[in-house]
Amino acid sequence: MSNLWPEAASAHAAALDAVLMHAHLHMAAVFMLWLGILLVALWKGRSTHATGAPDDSVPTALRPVPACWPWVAMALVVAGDVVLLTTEALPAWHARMQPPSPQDATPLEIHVEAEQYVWHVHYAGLDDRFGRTDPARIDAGNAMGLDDTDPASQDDVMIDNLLMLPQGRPVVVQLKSRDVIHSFTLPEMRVKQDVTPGLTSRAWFTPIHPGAWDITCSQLCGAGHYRMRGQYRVLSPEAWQAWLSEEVALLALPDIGTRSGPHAHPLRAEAAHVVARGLPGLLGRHYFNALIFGQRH
Amino acid sequence: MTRARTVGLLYVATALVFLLVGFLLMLLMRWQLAWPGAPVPAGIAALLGDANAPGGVLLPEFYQQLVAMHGTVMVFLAVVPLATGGLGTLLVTPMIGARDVALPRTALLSYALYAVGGLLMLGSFLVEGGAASSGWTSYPPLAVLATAGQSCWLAGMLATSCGSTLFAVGMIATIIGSRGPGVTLARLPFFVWAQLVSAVLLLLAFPALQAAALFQLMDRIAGSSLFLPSGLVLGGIPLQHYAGGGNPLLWQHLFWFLAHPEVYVLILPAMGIVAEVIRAHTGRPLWGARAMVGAVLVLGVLSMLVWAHHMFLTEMGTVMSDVFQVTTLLVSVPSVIVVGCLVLSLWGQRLKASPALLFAVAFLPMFGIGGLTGLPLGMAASDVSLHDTYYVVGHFHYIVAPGTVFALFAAIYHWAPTVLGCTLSTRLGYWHFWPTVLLMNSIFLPMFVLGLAGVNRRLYDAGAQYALAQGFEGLQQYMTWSALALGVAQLPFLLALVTARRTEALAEAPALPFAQGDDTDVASAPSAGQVAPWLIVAWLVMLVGALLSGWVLLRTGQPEWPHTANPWWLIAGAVLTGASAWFMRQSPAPLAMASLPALAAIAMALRGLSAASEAGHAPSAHNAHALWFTITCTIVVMTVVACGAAIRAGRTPPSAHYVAGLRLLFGTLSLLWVVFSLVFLVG
Repeated sequence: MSNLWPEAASAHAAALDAVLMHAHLHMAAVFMLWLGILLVALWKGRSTHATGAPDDSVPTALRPVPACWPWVAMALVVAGDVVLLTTEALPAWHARMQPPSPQDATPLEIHVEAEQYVWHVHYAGLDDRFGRTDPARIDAGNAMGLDDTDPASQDDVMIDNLLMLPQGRPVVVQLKSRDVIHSFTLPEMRVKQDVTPGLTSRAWFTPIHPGAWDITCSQLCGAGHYRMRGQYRVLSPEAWQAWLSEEVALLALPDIGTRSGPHAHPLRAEAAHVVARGLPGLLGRHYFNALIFGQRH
Repeated sequence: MTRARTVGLLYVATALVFLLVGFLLMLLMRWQLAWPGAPVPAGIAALLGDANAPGGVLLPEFYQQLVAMHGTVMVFLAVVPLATGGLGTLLVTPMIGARDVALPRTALLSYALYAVGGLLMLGSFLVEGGAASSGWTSYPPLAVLATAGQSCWLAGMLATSCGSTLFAVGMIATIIGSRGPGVTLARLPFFVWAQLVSAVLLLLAFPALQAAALFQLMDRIAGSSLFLPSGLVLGGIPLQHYAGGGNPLLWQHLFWFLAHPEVYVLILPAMGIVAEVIRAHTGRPLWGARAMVGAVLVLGVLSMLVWAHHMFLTEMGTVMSDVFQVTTLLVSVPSVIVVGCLVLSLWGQRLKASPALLFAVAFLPMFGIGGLTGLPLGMAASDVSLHDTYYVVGHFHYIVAPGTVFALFAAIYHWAPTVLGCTLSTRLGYWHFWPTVLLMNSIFLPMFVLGLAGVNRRLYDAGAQYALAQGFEGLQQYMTWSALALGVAQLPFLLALVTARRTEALAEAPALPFAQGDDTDVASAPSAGQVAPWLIVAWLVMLVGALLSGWVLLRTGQPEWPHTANPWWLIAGAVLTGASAWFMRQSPAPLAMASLPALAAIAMALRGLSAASEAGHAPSAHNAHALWFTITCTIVVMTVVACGAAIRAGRTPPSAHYVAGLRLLFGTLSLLWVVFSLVFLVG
């Protein structure tokens, strides 16, 4: 059991984890107190008589319950709930729902489109402008349906199942689904956002330390739901910039031909490899893990 | 044998069979989760067939059918019918001193609909593409695009839920109108209160799912797009021949408006059973009995105000999420009162152990764990980490499996002497109890560990491809071995049922002793025949309300909203149905004659329908038409049923209550016609 708890690798993770932790402490306290009362009542009330009706002639060692007890217990529970909600849960959620302000740092915007069992990732490239997309242009070589006639699209990078993120900069992911409901989940970022077709959702977070993890889908999206796996990597800002420049430079090469899918870039090849692995891959899982997660452990 | 016993025993027997089916479906799932891709034993593989498990290896498609059907069978066909239709019908009548259920034909019909619906859903394993595979939640668009099994699921759900509605009508009418002398509301046993609140929830919450199921059937069969937004692309190809403009979230609102109260329908009868078992074993009244009744009533109300806490991650605004977080946490107050009072009822009492008491007492901490783990799920900030992980699975299973199912076992051990006239072996009961309580926790406690680690539910390979699920293979296998052992641990129970000793002859109505005294409450209570029409009307209003809520949600934000048909057809329908209600006031007028205007209203509505389709306003052309068709057809069907009831009663002189009930029904239908036509006039 390598991980009993996913790493907390985003700026807001600590606040959400605190709510979760304190909720569990509150639950444990309530449960123990109440279980203690139950066990005392059972132990003191156990009857040595194997048969017959409850023997009322022998009083138990327990005194009658004072009428105020339940009210005290209830007040404690309510107080715990109110404190938890008002001091932690609601403020944490309100803060979470506040989009990053451009004053702090210009957020990096990334577009992700989900479809049965792929995460299509679209980066604006070096000009920070997204090219026009059109579903009619979607084909095997153009997963986002990018319009090549739009000047803004010239340096747009599209990769399936690979999300590259710079450390320390707020990220806003714009999410859409083409077919059914998916749920874009980055467990280590404490990000989970349903992606409902017909709606455009946004998820934002700031990665705080480098690493490589899995993107998971958290909403049943069909028989292949279990393999709707992507990868996300957090790089240092310099490394990320270098990666992006390299990707854009690759686009300029005339022999690439397609705008997405497996390319010469090692990360892309790896991502394509991840997608290709369905159930048969399970047999070689350990080899597979060493291959993909080797760098991590 | 009273009708209550017949129907109750039918319900119990059928629900126990479904419980076994749900358990077996679960074992297949657990096999796959423990050993992903390993073939199941040869005999089972042959049974599943190559279409589902080639070479004995379960296909992902088949695994998702198991997931969806296990949930559906357990909730809708096993536990709820056992707790309400089964034990409720069997135990409520003697507890309230009634001779029998108030509406015996309704009770039988409710059972028949439940059984037919259940068979339809189970039978869908045999249709092409297999059974429903979109989870018990059946979220569209996935469910709309699914294979034919989903249509069977929807039709089966409609039948089963109509059975639940009829059961609820009969149960409420019995409790209000058929109490024996001396059984005032204040003296109703806690179990009866719990059943009453459950029945009210079934009556008022199920219409939302019935409406949703009608909508989804329209999408699947009539080609409408109520749940399908524009611009869907399937496998790289834009979806053809559909109008779009639908909203998948509409389903989620309607589904959870039912499904959250449904959880309380699972748990309230269980609380009632545990309370009665504890009361019988201590020989004293329950501690704080009045507070418990109050708490159950509050629980019933709150259960209908929390549904959107299942939807925090659908990009809901903070105001709405605040409201639902507060209402969700409010649930803890009545829950603590009930569980606290039950514990205090044990305090200072001499207790004689028995399998029934053990199961009842074990229910308390199990429900405690299930309830408390709802807390981090009910707060959006912590829900982010836990949503759709195994934590959720652990949470609701603690409520239902070690929770409600323990209470059901307690009930069977406790009431077998009065209901079946035989006593189950105490020794076998202990052999049943201890392994069961241990193994249930072995299965479900690890789910919290998995969930906190971030392992998602509904994964065909138990998450084997994800780094954060690595290392849990051993735990998954442990859970599966525990599940297999749990099956074996039920053998003492089966043995106890088979070897039950016949005790004294069964009293036809094992009436409880009620103090004779102030009877005004009972004497002045309306009769079952007076209550039932009001209940049906309440259901009808909720159903049409749910359908119209779909109209409101889909209409907002749509600039174009074409007219389907001339709304004056509907106004005329309203007037004619109202005329029928008015004619029924003139009591000498035969009911069949009085229903003639309503029949004319039906004809007018049908004329409207055909005019719409002549004009090319098919449900597939626009959601406005789809909604118009769905709502019109629903009201027409209800009017047909009402006319049928009137004509049937016309042959024999009906009672005054019957006529009053029909008048109420026709009046309400007329009102619904009016509301409906106004909505479409304004729209």
